[in-house]
Amino acid sequence: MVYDLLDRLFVLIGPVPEDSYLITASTKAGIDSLERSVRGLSADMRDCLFSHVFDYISSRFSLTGKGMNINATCASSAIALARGASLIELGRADSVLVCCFDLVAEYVFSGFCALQAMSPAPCMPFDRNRKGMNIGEGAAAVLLMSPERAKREGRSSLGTLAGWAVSNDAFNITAPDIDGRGLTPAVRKALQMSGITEDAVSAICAHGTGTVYNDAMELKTFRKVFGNRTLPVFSVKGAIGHTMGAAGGIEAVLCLKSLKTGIIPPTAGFKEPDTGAEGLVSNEPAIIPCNYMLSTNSGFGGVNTAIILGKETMS
Amino acid sequence: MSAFITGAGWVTAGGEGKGRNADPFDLSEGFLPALSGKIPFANTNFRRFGRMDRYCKLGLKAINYALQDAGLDAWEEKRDIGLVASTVLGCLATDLDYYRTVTDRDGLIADPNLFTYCIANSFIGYAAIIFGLTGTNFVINEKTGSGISAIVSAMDCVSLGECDIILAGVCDVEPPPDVTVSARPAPGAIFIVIEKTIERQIVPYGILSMDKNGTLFFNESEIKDISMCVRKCLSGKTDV
Repeated sequence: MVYDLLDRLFVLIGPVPEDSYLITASTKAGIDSLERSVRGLSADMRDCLFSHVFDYISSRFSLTGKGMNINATCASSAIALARGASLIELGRADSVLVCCFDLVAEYVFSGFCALQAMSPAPCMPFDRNRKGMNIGEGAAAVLLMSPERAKREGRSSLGTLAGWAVSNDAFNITAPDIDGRGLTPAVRKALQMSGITEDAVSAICAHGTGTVYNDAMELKTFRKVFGNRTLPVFSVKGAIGHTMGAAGGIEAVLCLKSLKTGIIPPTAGFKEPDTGAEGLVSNEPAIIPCNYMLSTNSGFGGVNTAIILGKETMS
Repeated sequence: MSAFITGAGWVTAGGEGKGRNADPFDLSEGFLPALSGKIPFANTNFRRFGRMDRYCKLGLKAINYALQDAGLDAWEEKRDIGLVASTVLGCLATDLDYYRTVTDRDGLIADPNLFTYCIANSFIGYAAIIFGLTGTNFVINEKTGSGISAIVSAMDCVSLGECDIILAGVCDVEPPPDVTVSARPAPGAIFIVIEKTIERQIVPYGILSMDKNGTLFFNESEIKDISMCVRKCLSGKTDV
């Protein structure tokens, strides 16, 4: 199934330079093959190895460069984007294809059910009646390029990755530090790397899983960093579910679209604000001209990411 | 870009230990030593080690040795220290164990505790908790288990000011019997401690540097995998 998902993604991708560095972001690659194997059905267990899926993507685009898979639970994609931007910043690559994907499989579904993290109803991020998460399946690809190369090739830019940071709560393997002591420094570091102040951020694409602890932790973080500003905060997980390792990539693409159109997506499922979400989260889209947006992700293992996306400035 | 290597720790089929103990080092085929028993973590409140899966135990044990070797295992306040690891198989063996609990009795005994170890970065998460590490952290899946991707990424993080101290290493347990791996990694975990500057009393093993193409050098001699890096650390004295 992972190849079907990737093939659907590839149809949407324009030309990719063959010398691009490839970074994939996924937590479980072809996990459905593991399921089939355990059930005694025909399966190729090599699909569970990232190198196999990596080679598939690489050959699809005839890529000649090196690459790697980033595996950091739900923060995988944001870290992949950060590492890709690092390669360009350090001059070791001028074109990096970041490809993010994860499957919905019984393996994953049963695990989150066993942890009692799943909502029996559509998830309701930042809502006082939220009961947990829904998982979703998805993929996204982002081609990162140095401004010089993009200009040379006459490519239009969708936006910039202005800054990033990764942190760890050092608190609990599955639950976040509810006071946001892990995510807060990541957001501050990302702002610092971007060279912008808190005031320059116009909206936040939150991780917003719809679990009690995650959403509360994020709201506390945003209050700590942005004070009492009524900064629009949204989560797409009420609409598409939690796409796990692909989440940060899909959300970054949505941020780029928001930066271009000035439209902030609604938070599907949100009805009554939880404490701290009043005036920040809405189930209606908003029109807000943005120059910079913050996107956050957090995952098992205590990992947090913050990335700052900027409006396209090349044209 | 250059930085200091101040610690090295490992658990391999050839032995386990840390650099300053002059423990035997050899990343070879074979079976890993027993990963059971109590581990003398500086954080004595942590008592979960015996319940972990092998992959997590393996990574944690090697990280413990590396931090001890660098004199960084004890702590009072959390520290902005990063951790990057590469792996070929990750937690695949644990994935199989967990999914068997799902298929038995139609999921009624799906094991939530085991599921928490079904993430490739489980040992990084636990290392963060045990040693108070709050810096950048992630796992890289690479093809060969050389560990070069992890060291290069760690050096990138230092170069860009993401952190000043970072561990880099590899972690792979033996492949499950039903999985064929073309470039089978030798089982084991090896970690080194990389520091941008040294502000405490410790003599580093030497200088790790990286050129603009991402080629790594230890004391100006090229290194092609983490095993070679540790061997060079153990064989030479530094003049820094």
